[in-house]
Amino acid sequence: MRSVFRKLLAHPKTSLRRKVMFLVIGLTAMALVLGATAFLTFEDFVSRKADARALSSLAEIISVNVALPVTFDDAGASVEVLKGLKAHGHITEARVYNATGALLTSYPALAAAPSRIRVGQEDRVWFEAGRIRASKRIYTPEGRIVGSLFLEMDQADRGKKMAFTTLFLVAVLTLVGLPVWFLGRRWAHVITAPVRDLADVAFAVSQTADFSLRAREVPSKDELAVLVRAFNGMLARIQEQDERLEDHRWQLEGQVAARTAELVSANNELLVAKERADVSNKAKSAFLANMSHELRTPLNAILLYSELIREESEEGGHEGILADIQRIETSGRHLLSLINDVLDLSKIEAGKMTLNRDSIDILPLIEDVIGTVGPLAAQNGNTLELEAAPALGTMVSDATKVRQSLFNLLSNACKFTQHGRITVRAFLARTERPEEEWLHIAVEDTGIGISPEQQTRIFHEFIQAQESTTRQYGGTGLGLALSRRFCQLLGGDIRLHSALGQGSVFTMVLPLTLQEPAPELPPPEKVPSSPGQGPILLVDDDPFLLNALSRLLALDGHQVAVAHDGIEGLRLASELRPGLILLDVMMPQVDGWTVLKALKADPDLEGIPVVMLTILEEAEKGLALGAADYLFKPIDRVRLSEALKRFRLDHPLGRVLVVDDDVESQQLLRRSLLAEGWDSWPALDGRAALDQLRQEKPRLILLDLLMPGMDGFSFLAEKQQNPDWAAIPVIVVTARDLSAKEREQLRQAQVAAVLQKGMYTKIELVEEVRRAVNRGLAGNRKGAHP
Amino acid sequence: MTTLLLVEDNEMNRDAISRLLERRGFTVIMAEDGEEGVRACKERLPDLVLMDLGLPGMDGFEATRRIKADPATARIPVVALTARVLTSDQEAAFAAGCDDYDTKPADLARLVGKIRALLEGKEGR
Repeated sequence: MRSVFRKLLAHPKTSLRRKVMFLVIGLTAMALVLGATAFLTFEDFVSRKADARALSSLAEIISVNVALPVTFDDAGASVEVLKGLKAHGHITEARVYNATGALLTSYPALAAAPSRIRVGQEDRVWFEAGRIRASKRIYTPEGRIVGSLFLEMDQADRGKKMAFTTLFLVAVLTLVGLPVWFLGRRWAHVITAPVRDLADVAFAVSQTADFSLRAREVPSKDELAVLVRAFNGMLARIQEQDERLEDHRWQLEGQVAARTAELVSANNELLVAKERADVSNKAKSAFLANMSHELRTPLNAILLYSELIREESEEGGHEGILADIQRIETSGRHLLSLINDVLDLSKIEAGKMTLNRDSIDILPLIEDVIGTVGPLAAQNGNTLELEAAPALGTMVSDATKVRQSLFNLLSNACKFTQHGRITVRAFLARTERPEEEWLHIAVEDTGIGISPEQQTRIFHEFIQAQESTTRQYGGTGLGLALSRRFCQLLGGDIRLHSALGQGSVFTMVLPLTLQEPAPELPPPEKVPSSPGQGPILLVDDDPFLLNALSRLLALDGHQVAVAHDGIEGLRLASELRPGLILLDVMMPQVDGWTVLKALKADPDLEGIPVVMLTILEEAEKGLALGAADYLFKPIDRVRLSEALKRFRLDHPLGRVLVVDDDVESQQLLRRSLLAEGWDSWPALDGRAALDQLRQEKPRLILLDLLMPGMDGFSFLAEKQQNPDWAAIPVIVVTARDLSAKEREQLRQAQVAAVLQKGMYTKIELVEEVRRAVNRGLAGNRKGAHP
Repeated sequence: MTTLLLVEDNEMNRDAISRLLERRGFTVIMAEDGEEGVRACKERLPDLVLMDLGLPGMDGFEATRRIKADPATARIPVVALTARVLTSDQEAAFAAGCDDYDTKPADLARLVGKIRALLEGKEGR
């Protein structure tokens, strides 16, 4: 019983309502059954008590009546008395014993009974074998015991009475139970309905994350009402937080958009700055080249005349001035070498340094340089040694630059070493790449050494290890920088190992074969296909500009492909068939003009419009070569979009009219759209929107409903009446809870979707926009071809 | 007696170079620009021409081209002298027909070396 009870209550499928019903009915029934049982028991007890008392008093009466006959042992008289018992239907047996305990008489006469008993027992009444028995002593009026009486009474009535009572109780139970059941069913609602409602709402919230739902309030103060109220309060708080979060998110998105815009503009500024720096760097190089030329002419005269004077004074015996003239000449040559260094550096910076590919006998070249430096070494009392590995063989490189680099290293070593030893070690090793041997020329000196801190600066132009060294040792500090640049141009480098006071080792590391210059422009592949509506192809060697520009274009919804040089640009042009090419003029190896010529020479590609990007005002040249347009760097976003517009590449997705009186939400919508490539323009109410429609047909309208002036409903009504406008899809964005009637109104106005303000995500918005436009397109097509 | 034609517009350079070369036993005749240089070359038929490239009017490239185009003077070696040291100049000089090239300010020993080498080559031929 208990387990059934428990099973029923704990069964997972038993509803709360059933449980409550079960509890109410079950407990009521139990109480009634228990009560009835108790009542029956009590009833039984009382009736037995009454029977016993009745029997006892009957025995009393009979005992008085039989006292006389018993005294005289008169059986006949006592029989008469006992016969009176017939009136008592329930007396089943009666016996009278005399003083000796012998049975005097009995009723009914035939009863088989003990013929003798022990007289003088106490008077008592007892139950035995479903009957009530009583024994009673018989007294004479004087109080002498003369015999005893035994009576027995059946209880046939009792069973009947019990059955009747039980029946009655069952009837009562049924009569009471039915209304209890009925009322229980009805009143269980009081408890279960709010709980069920709560459960339904909680489930709905968990499924839809719609925190605007509320459980029905219970008009009472019980725990359920408290629960419902607490739950609703919780929902309200979540909703509020959700809204705040959503607000915050939108705000953040706005901020991100603003930041992005800032970044883009900062990028642009950086581009401008970089271009300026490039321009000024090139100007500097040009200036240096010119200056060195201008300096050379007078220097030429100085050198020539000092040589002339030297020769003439040698002959004319003017030895006195010979040393001075020697100094003029030495200084002149020094000045010349400095000018040459400056010129070389500026040539390297301008990218104009060309390399010869000479076949070099390595050992003779080194010996030759050592021979040249010999006098310099001797000046400071240094010894100069060469330790060359056998069979150094030949290399292919620029002999002048190898020679000059080694000369610079050696003359530096001589300059900074006093009475020491300078050792040149030359050997081949596979330190750079395992597959080939490189030439190493190490110049080791026992000089002043270079501290680690100085080592980081020493290869920079115009910097010497210490400023004081300039005064002490002379020189401009160009030699090392130039040597390293030379070695790098030759595909190698210069390494430095040194410590202060422990001498230095400068090692030139050069590949044995100078790499061939970059390959010639390959002929563009011919892929037969019509000039397509492909992406915009950006060709520029500046990764920074590529990045900034491609993001700018992508932001406007354009597909962008990028090429980092002219060759890649040509390859992509024939592969992708771009709708437009933005082409940089100044690129290494293959410049923009060459690319432009190649494009225009290819019948498959010549149709693609090309916009040249240039800092030089060479627009004429570009247009003559077939460029469609040109943009000056730094690229102005407005000019760019104007140019794109000319090639019908502006806003490929179309424009959206945003009708909302709330400027903030309007801007939010427009920013969201822009981020997905949708251009948009605003109108503040229905009237303004209609005016806008007359000027330009948008691809889509985003419409607020509640606006001052003409509201969204009136606008829709007007719009639908104009056959030109009826097909423009509309998405309603509203903060309002729409009634069924209003929804119907919107449905009839062909509204594509309704978005609840604050209830949709940006993605949903864009998705709806896209869907609506696609549907609109499908609808238009159907209209065109019925 | 070896005669050299020095075509050079800068008066000081012309003076110093010619004097230095004369000291080394050459006869030096001079011209101040390209046109004069071409004319002098044709009239005097020097053994070798030292040609400054950056000349006013007709420049050294053009003058060299003309000298090399005239059968009468085509075999006279021309050594280009220039203050410009860009490789493109060097290449243009050879393209114009120069036989050798040296930068200013001239290292006299080196220049004379080049002159002698060219003259010997010519004699050898």
